[in-house]
Amino acid sequence: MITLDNIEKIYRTDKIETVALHAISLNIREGEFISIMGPSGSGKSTLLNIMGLLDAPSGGTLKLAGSAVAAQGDRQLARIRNERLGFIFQTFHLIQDLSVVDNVEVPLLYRRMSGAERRTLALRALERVGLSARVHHFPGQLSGGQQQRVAIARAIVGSPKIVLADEPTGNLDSQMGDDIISILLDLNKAEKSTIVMVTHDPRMAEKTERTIRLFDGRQVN
Amino acid sequence: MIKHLFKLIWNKKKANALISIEILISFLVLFAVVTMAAVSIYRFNLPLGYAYANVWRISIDSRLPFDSTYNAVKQATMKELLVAIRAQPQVEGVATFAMAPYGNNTSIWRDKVNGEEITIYINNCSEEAKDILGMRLVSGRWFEENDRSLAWTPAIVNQALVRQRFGSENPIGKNPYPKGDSFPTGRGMRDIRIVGVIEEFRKDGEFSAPANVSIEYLDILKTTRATSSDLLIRVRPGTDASFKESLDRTLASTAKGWSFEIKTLEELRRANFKPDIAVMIVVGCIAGFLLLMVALGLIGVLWQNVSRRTNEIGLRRALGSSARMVYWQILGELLVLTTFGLIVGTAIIVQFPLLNLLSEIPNGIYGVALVISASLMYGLTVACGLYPSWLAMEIEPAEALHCD
Ligand SMILES: Nc1ncnc2c1ncn2[C@@H]1O[C@H](COP(=O)(O)OP(=O)(O)OP(=O)(O)O)[C@@H](O)[C@H]1O
Ligand SMILES: [Mg+2]
Repeated sequence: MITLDNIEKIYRTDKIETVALHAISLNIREGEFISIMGPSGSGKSTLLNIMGLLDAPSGGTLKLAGSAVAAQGDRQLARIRNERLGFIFQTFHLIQDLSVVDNVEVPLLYRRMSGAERRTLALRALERVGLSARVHHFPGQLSGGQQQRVAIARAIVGSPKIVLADEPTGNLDSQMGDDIISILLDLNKAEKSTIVMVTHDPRMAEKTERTIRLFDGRQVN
Repeated sequence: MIKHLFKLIWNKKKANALISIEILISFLVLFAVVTMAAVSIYRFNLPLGYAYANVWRISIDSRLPFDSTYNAVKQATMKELLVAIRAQPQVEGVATFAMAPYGNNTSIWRDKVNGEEITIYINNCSEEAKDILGMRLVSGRWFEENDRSLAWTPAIVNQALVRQRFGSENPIGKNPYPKGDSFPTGRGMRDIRIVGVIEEFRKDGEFSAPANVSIEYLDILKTTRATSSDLLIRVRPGTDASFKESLDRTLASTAKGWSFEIKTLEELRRANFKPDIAVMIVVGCIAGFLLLMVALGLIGVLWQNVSRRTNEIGLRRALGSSARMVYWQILGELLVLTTFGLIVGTAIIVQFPLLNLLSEIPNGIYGVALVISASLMYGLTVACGLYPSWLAMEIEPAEALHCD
């Protein structure tokens, strides 16, 4: 599903060159739930951003579902992100000025469909994460765990094949973290979604099928 | 998507209300200025009723004492003056006009008749004036030499007066002033009869409002009875300013002790325009300055708005918005805000009694001014939004999502 071949990422600022990723080769199969671990600054987010087409690698090739994505323009990349990828972030990144259900609808705004259809899908996704009672709340009125569940609903509302989660439990206590992981596990099982999750927590990593470890931008095993 | 923009804006109404109010106020100011300009252009293009080219004005001050000899002396001297003027090869004709075009004197009759306010601008001229100023008669007849000896006063009026006073009736032979009214000094009704109708006579020039005009017959020999009477001469095309001095010398030697001031109507016209143009420049500058301030403020607010929303923009990119779409979203929000300000502004403008303030201005002019100022407002806000929108488009999603 996701194939990385010799991926490099070098950040160049005025004086320093940071090698954030070095020769990363990975093959993530469809329906796999993998975790990425590593110390802070080891390149986990960078790797996830590259898989998520939010950042371009400095070298190497990335294939999503068999097709290379390097040569695509911004419009096509945006479309792939919209249709095939779902994102979950440590800090939720909900739009504060939109209600829960409106937040969940955002990915669907970039698709051609009626407002009613969007609403139906959004409500279904919220039901999925157990937030049907909070659809007209605003993010500020929700707990961290609830906010992350909104973010998960938003990530899955468009039925993407791949969900990329960057420390989804990083800002939550362990109880809420467990809730989130079980939602992701359920998603992985029921929908056969491919899930890539960055985490610091070995307990969470244990629950996934496979763990990739990064150190200083390199893969270690 | 538009519904989504409305939602975003509505949920942030406090912050957005300020921008909308700013846009609303600028719109009102812009509308006022554009209306002023539109009214000026509209009036400028209305018929003037005369041609000013090659017409010169001679202002005469006889300085004669008002005693028993006044009339006799003045008329005798006047006769000599006219002979002297007509003898000049450069002069094609001479007429008298109590209040010549582009001059500063005005005489107004105003009263309420059956609840309707009627204002008439009064003037006087001699029979030669038609040819000197190229005035056009629409119906009836022009003044003629015989009018001097009539027991009543013939008058020529403009079409506006006919419309207001007589509607579709034939005005010829009627008194331009409403019956039963006294004019001008309470000595009872004078016997004034309309003999002809001219299209227009806008003495105060191109920027003046059209008005009702009644021009009464004035014998050229009696020119200096009214303190403000002037002679108008038509000179041959190409006559240059040097003729002014030689004419002045001729006049001074013909009428000893009298004083003369000679000006071309073009000079008077330019002087007449000055205050109007000065007002336009001042108002234009103030409005321009205000709009510049608004524009700078708007750019600042939008810029700040974009940097405050870096996260959201990065997120939208992750969720499937292309960079282009981010650009259009920011502009789109601005257009929604502008539209909101313009709708409220239009509602306010329509309430205004302005539409009756300048009754001669057709409502279409206000419509045009409204459309122009609305378009200018859209142009202004879009111009202000271009840079912030571009900044939003340039936001790197990975970086934007990184920072909090
Ligand atoms: N935009 C950038 N410009 C320059 N250097 C960057 C940029 N983004 C990341 N880096 C560097 O790349 C390296 C990897 O960063 P990354 O964010 O991927 O780490 P991480 O493993 O996600 O860390 P954390 O666990 O703290 O989130 C770090 O050294 C970081 O300083
Ligand atoms: Mg990270």
